[in-house]
Amino acid sequence: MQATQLTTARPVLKKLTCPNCGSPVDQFSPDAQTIVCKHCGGYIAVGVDQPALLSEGRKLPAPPVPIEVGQMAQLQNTAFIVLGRVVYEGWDPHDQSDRWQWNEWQLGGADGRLLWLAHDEDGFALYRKLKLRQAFDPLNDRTLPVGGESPVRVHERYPARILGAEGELTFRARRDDRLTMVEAAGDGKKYSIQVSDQELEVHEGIRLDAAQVASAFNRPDWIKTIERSARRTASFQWVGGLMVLFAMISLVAAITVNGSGDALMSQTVTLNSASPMTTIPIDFGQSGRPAIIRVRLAGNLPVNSGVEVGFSMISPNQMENYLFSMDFWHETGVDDEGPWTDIRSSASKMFVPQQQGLHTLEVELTGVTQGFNQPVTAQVTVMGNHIMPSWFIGYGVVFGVLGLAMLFIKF
Amino acid sequence: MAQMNCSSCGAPLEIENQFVRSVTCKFCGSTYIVSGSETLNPAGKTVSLADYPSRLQVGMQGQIRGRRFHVLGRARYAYDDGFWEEWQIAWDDGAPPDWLEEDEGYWTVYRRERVKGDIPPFEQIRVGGTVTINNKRVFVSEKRTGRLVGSDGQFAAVLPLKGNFGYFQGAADNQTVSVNYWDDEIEISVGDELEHHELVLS
Repeated sequence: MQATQLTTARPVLKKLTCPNCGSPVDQFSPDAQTIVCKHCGGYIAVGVDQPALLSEGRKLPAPPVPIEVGQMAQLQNTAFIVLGRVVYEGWDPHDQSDRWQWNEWQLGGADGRLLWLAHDEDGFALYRKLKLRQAFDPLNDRTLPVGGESPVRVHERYPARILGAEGELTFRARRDDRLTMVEAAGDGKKYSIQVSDQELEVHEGIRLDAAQVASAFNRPDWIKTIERSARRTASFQWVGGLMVLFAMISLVAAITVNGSGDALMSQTVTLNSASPMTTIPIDFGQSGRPAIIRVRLAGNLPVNSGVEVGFSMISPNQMENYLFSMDFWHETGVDDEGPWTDIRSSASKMFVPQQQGLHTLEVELTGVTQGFNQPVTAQVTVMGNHIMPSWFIGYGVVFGVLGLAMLFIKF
Repeated sequence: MAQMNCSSCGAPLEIENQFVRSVTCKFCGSTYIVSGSETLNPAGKTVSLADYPSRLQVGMQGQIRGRRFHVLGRARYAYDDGFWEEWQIAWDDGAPPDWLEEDEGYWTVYRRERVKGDIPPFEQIRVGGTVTINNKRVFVSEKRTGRLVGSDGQFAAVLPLKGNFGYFQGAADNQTVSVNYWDDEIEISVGDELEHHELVLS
């Protein structure tokens, strides 16, 4: 922080005494209505009668950016001095645990203008007071009548309070003062409306990026920090972009390899109640590589019938392993939307042979619906050296999430 | 220019022109109503504003849109949540004095306007609502109760030395409208907002 480098020696307009702690308090701005005591943090009302304590204060959270009361800035070709800072807290009226904070610095210009430099999660905006010329219902209207070419749309309404303040302010501020905020945007500008029973205040803001603000405050150290952050952000975005690209390639690969593999055998089998099982020899050249068994019935099953086909594998060492079963059906019915038909006549499942060499696949008709007594004919195909799409999907999701996070992260 | 003396402290009091209706002694805060014969009738006392820093000073000169003026008087008003100041300015071209008011660094010149019709009661005014004032649709942006804190100099009006008064401000077309509800009078002022370069202080 180089606050002293850019802080001017301001003439003291009036010397006061804090009504809370008795410490000396200097007034620098003729517009000050509230001064926050540096020593006790008390909010002191000035300008009417004797200085009076509005509310006690407490330690203010450190500013998120290196702007301090008393610093100078060059904005809009005018020299401004930071008179004070207010920290606000807003919350979602429907979910009070959803809270956020923002800072506003009041700037006093050499030409008498008073501006507000606000900083929130979206960055900086420089606000000036605006008088509305047309009727506006702050609690219901969806557009703000500011007279521009494009409509200014209200996008947020929420309650807020003053969390803390420091320096001099040109309004009466107390800790925990409540207000209703309305935010609008349009025509490239932001609008902040503060509503109470007594007043409806509108401020019109333009966005500033951090580099512009740092430059306005003539802070080379801050500018360097911003540039470093920008470079880091750009690097992360570059890597994030690559990761997202990789994720997309992975997903394409997952689609491509779905059902892939070398056809090891393909055979038509017919099963019935008299001869419910058949065997098929398969030679697996490698162990530990996934294989797929794909079954396609020759035609549909009779209406309202179903069968279950079980698969077992006998390894070269004569060890028999039950693999899985597949259900096929042809069902019909009527519901609220009318008649329906549901047919399943093909299926595929994966398994991993644990040994190399000649295996025997047992295919067995393990179940039929009542009254079903006709043979079931199916084409059984076994694909070896299958590449599982789940690997690509897994990598794709991980890289995609990480990549997106890196794309949107900001330093 | 007539010169008289404060009956309270003896300090000289200046009555600059025929428009001045009240004057406040800058030393003791005694306030006088100027009668037609330029005699002074004591009206009470206000707080001296000498102790309160401000951007303008009584006697200061300047130009508004190229028209020369000087500051005749300064009045500070308070409401629950703060204060505001109004400066009575006299035009060097001899026109009746107007009021200059500052709001967050933006200046507005107000001139009094006669009441030309019904004015809604103060209680019916609602911030965010619209009312008709002198055939103008005024959008109300502020409604408060205020009181005079202190004054300094000469005024083309009799300032309300005691008690509170209601007021509201709003906008109609390109003008600012301010309505004060005094005890015995409703006062309408219509203002023109100035761009920064339009007010030059010297």
